[in-house]
Amino acid sequence: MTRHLLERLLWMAVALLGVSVITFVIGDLLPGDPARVIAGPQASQAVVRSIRHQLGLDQAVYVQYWRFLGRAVRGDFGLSFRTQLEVLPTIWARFPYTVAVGVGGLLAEILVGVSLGIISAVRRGTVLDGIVICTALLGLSIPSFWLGLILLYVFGYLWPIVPLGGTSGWTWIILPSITLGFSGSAFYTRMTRTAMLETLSEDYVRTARAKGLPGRTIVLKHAFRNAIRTVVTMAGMDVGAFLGGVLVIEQVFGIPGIGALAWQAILNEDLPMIQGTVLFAASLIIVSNFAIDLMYGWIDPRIRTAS
Amino acid sequence: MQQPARHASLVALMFVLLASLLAVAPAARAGVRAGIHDGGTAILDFSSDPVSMDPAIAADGYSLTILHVLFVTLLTNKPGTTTVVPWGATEMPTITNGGKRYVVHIHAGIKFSDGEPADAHAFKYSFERILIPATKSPYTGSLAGVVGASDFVAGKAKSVAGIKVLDPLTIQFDLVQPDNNFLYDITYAALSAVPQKAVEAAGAKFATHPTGDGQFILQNWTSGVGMTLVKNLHYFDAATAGHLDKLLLHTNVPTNLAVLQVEKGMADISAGDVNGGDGIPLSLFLTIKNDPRWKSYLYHSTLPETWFFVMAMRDKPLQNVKVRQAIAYAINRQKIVQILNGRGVLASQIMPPSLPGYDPSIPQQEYNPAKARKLLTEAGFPHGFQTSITMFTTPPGPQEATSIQYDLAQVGIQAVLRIVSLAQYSTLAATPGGSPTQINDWLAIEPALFMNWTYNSNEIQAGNNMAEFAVPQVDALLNKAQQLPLAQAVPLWQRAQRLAISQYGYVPLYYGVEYDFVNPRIGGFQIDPNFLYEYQQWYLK
Amino acid sequence: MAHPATSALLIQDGDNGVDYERPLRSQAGWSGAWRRYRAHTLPLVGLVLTLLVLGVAVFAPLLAPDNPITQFPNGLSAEGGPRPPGGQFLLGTDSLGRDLLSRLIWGARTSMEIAILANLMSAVIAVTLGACAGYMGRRVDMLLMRLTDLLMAIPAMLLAAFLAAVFQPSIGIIVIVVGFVNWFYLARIVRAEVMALRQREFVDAARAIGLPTWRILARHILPQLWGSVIVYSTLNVATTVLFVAALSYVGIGVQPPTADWGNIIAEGNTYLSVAPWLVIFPGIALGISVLGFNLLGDGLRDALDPRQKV
Repeated sequence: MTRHLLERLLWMAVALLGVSVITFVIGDLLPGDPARVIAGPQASQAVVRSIRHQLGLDQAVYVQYWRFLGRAVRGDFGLSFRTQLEVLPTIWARFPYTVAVGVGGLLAEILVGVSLGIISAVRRGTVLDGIVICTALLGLSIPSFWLGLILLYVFGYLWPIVPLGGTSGWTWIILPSITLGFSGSAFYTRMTRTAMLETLSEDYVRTARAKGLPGRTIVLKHAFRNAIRTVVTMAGMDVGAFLGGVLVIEQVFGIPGIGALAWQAILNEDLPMIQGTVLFAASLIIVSNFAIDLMYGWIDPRIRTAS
Repeated sequence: MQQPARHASLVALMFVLLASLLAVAPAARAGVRAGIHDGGTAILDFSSDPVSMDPAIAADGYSLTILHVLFVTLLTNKPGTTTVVPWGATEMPTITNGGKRYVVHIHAGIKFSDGEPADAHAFKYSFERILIPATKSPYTGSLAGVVGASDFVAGKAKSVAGIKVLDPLTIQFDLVQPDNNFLYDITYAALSAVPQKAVEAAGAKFATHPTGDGQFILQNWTSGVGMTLVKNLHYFDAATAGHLDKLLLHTNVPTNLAVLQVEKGMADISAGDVNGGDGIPLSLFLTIKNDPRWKSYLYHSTLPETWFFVMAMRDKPLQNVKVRQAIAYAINRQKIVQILNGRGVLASQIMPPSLPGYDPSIPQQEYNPAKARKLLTEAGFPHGFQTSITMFTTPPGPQEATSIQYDLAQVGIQAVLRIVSLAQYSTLAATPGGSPTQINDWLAIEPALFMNWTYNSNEIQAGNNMAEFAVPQVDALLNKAQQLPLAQAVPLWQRAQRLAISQYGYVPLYYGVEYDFVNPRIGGFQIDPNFLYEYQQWYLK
Repeated sequence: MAHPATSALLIQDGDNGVDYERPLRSQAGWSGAWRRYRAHTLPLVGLVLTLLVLGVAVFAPLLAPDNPITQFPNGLSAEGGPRPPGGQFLLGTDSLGRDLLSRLIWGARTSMEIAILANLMSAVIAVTLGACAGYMGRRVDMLLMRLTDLLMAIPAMLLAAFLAAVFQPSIGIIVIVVGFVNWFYLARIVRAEVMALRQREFVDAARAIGLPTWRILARHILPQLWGSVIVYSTLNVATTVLFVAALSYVGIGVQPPTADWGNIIAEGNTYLSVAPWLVIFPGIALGISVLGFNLLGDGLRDALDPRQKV
């Protein structure tokens, strides 16, 4: 078990190193001269040269990478080309918003998905089941930015019960979470439904039923416990796609998370900020996959013995 | 003009007296000035974060509007006009030595919020700070013409020889050669004074926690969320002091939401990112304009801003002046203005109508696709050719580019669109041969900028003269005009422009018309040609 | 990029996601699959919708009333606003005075082209790498798993945006970028299936009579994979269409003037209160196609793998 853990940790480090190489290589391919952008259009060549030297841009790529790595392991991602401010503190300042939207979205996704899944499994073949399946399909078919704008227009403008974008109060979190969660919830609905139906047809559940245990107890005690395993796996695999989704959602609702930060950085060709946000997001995904892995073993001991 | 104005102010004074008599005690306590109540908070929606609150670093229009009320410059433009007037200076500079020496007297008693005086030393410190390469300021170019600047940049001199502190309240600038743009240069927010002690103590943090001397003080700035500016109670000049107690700036509000927030009274203005009229998105403009409810919310003004189509003159087919002329005939400029929902005025030339040097006798370019085709045939391209148009992503840029692309296709020219980010756009522009054609704009109050950045060959290197326009005769006129007082420069600019326009390196498209959506409870609102907004003039009605 | 949960839908049993008991497929299996497929309404609806969308894409030049890039002088109001539906423009016009219906019809073609090509590309990469890793095991396998780990750690949207800043977004580049950020999950599914198949008797038998590896892979293993690959790719076409739309929304999708559902919907998006037709019709078109492919994929999964049907 410890060996397995150490191995995982080692691979986490290797993966991060790989991500840093990828971002560095793509960054090197970006057209344009950051020194010229910083110096402004009226600057003389001497000034541009001097800035290029200060930034180390006159060095070979591998030297630049080596320096970057040396600083990065100490938590120093350099200064933003655009604002001349430190990259990492800026990312940390924006991080809570992304976490709020991500966690909110995940909760919405799982809550909506799992409860719809349970309903449709228990009431299989009824009209209710049909409605649930249709809702799930709708969620799959609507672009999130489209849904987000319509929700904003209806609940922020026509019947104003939540803020019109931004992050004031706490109610701002509601619409982004729903928007983010709605599209993902369809998968959870289907997964939960399948898992539930499988469990419901297992012998021990049938026995429980035959013993005359009330329906709700059976659903919650047996079937749901088994469905959870699938949900946790999916939640783990979700983190990456989720962060991508957050990027779009942050644009729609005007949320100042790291998605918006990364996007602005790409638009501004602010290389240190791009590298910082991509590496930050990657670490986030790698760490949470690791956490899910541990949790998975804890929920389902069979896995632990298997590995 | 003098008499009626004085008369009007007398009437106003009487009205104020009457009003304050009627308005009982509280109004009297709130400091009444010419019918304006001080106090209150205005809420502003911006669509992104400003870059920096360090005047030496920020070069985006958005940061500049805020810096304009945080730091005092020697000169500035009179709000709402393009006229340069003294601000931190007591009067306009005395210019001697054939236009090469500028002496400026500074107001006594300008103080930073930490108590340090904003005097001649502070200005000299600030200017030299810009020139030090370690500052990485984008403004080194605006001081390049000062005697000794290049030695200082190269580390060969401890201070800039051409910036002298004559006494604590007098500063003198010596230029290598006369330059009528220097007056405009010292209106830049970058060229304000900064407090040496605070700058050195704060280091990089100065950009987020600046210590200023303007009408407002930056109380806090949460990256991505917003800023709070509060009134500076120790501001030096009662005549230009601010009225509001507080400005709440929300950053990162998408403009379509910002407009709805203003409609709901949740914000006072949708400011976009202060990028020429982008506060009201194209998608909402007509409904707002045609809805009587919002009539009192809309302000508009034609800016000193020219949009134009650029053709790289050394590109293969575009080398031929007939090809460039054909393109000028092929572009349906009226359609562009229509797509903009009328937020533009057809341009006859690069110099905008509000600046000296504008030449009303230059006619509008005709739209005539048949003539364009004929010219292309004469030039040896009867079936057109392939090219590309570069434009940045900020709306309505892509729409304009798509419109022109379609027009060119009608005369047989197949153009690929390259819609890129603003950062990529400027690097492409700075690369000679980076793009055969593009759309660009100038927005400034300096007439020399419009002429030189467009037509002077010494601006090719910097990426401003993107057509690589290089006509020796035009260069000579422009270089000569630069060294003359403004009034004498105007006829030379006009001659240069007449010569240049027939070369068709640039096709003027339209002058930008700025529309703003502002809650009518804000008084004193005015669209400024330089900063767009002059927050110190705002008050609550 | 593909919602990773899509792959979870395929991983039903066992830790490596493989159903060891599944019977081998044959001709009879395919016809049985079709019998199972048509037995339900929803999959049939999906098939009809998908065929409809593909039909529109293929016959766009015949179906569209106008050229999708023509900017009609009468397509804009005097003030320059888009025209509402009716008259010459059945679904109204966009902000440049172009016929929305024609743009939607041609947009179907662009969107389908991108979605299908990108999925073909990722399927080819995924099957090649997944099969190699699964069959050869050990080092090769570990290398592939770590590589997918690494690539999955970068949010696909961010990676695509970053790549788009480097390469000018053209349709070809979008296909490559989307295809590239898309193969990891399928590769893992294929790997798991191949690993299981490798242990089966018929593969052992093939090995025993000395068949070369490539032949075993091509003859005996690959035919067993089509089911999962087709199901995953079909479901993923839907996700891809949405992903490309999101790319357009953040400004790095298909470039103007080419009509694509993504850029039509992204551009029309903010017109909600002004010109709702620019929001609603593209939304419906996109919704129908995504729905169609989802239902088709679902139906295929149930039909090709009867044990999962509950």
